[in-house]
Amino acid sequence: MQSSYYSVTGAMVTQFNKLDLISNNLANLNTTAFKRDDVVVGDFKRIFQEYKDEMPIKDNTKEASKFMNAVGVRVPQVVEEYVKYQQGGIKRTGNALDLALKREDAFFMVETPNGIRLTQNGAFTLNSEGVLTTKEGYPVLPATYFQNQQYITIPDDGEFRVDKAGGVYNREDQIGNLMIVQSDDIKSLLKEGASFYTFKSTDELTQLEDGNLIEQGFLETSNINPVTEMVGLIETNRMVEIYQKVMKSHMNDLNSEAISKLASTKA
Amino acid sequence: MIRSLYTAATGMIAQQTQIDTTTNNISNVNTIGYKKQRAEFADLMYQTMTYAGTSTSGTSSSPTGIEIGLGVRPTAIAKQFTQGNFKETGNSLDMAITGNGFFQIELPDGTTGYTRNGSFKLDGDGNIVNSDGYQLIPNIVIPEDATEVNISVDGIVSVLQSGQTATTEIGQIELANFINPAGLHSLGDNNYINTTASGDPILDTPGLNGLGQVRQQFVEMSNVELVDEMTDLIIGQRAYEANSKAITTSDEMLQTVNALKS
Repeated sequence: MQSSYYSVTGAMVTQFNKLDLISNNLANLNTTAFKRDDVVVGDFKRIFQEYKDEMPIKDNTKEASKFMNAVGVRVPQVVEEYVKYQQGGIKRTGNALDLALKREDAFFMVETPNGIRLTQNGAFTLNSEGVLTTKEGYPVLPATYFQNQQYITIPDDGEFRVDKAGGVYNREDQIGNLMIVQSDDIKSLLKEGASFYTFKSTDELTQLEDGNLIEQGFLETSNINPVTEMVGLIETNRMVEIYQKVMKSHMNDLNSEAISKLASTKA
Repeated sequence: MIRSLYTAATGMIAQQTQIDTTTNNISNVNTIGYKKQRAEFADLMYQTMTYAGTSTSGTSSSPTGIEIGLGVRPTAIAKQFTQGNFKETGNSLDMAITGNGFFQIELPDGTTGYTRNGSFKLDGDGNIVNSDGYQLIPNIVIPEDATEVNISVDGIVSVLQSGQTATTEIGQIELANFINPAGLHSLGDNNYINTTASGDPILDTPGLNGLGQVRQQFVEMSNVELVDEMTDLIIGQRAYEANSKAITTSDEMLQTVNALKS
């Protein structure tokens, strides 16, 4: 069969992958501090470039054009996915245990059963011992955690105040600092679900101590813009329709004509 | 079959939870001592299509990998123990707590319930009880010939008996506090009971150790802000609609694929 047929099939699959992604963005419209995912659909040139790197060929030569035709099953595919860390909205809650990060590349550190994770979701709570934890009960780490392995513990009266730089106070006494980090290579962070991100190693993280990081009594909302996602939905929908037209015209018109005309014998 | 249908369904279910929670808050906008609740969500999980570090050619590798998210789930319905407004009632057995703490109530099964609702009454024997007839802990009995009941800010209950000129102290109100009030379990009827998440009650006199004081002749109103709830209602409804659009779009795209073979 004609190779273009497979290209169009690949394009259709790509659009379905995009649909999955848009659905996930929309499902998380109301998720605290959720950041939008997006994909890059690889065009033919990019794929060609990758093949070309494997076998060095000069551009615009006969070999190059031969090679182009050889790898010319020009199947579009999802080649890259990235997270848009743009700041979401800031919503007032009035709850002292809600903390919003004011920098899009800043993260809290949390100790989960699977290891230490990063998160931007600052809807914290206290457990029955008074330790500052996430809603799942995982401790939020203080700046000194790697020196002494201690968590942040709020005394009995539960009075809890955080300044803009991440200092934690009970009444007048400072009882610690929150660990706020940024990644040297934000692209290397991977989403894990439950608002957590995994990182490669602590060497790639820098502790932030700049004076304006946190707003207490506020939460960051999701940075999903429904308009963008709706446009995306319409686009993927129509793209699939277009691909369907291409496939049908191929199948029905071209091939049937070829078959009927070539196979017909004149009496 | 197709991920997006299920992903969008998790979105619709989550927004339904948001609407349910908001509706409950709105219905309790006039409930004495009610504390509003908030639904919270987190992304569900990610399905990996390409692992980060997979080689894309002899010399390069995928820097980020490709992960497709599978939707959203509710993580908590958190109670918000912020202070409600005070309303003066003039009733001498109404009390409001200015700050942290809970009144203790003896539930019918003998366990202790905790409440912010301080609108108390007297039963036939002069015990201080709540609207359901459950006794206050520690139990205080008002003598029959009392003409006036006074409750000080630190919870001392005294009465003026007929024919007397000086008041007599008859009891001391004790408040309970918890390290993590959000971990209390709601029984309904404005009552909570402690759980392992809330920690054990810490008992003390009003005004000490981070506990609030008691204000006689006032009740604490619900801390629900209608403006906030209406906003949440709108957001929840629109997000619900957006997710339903994702479902219909998935459906249309599948129809398109089905039409390939006529």
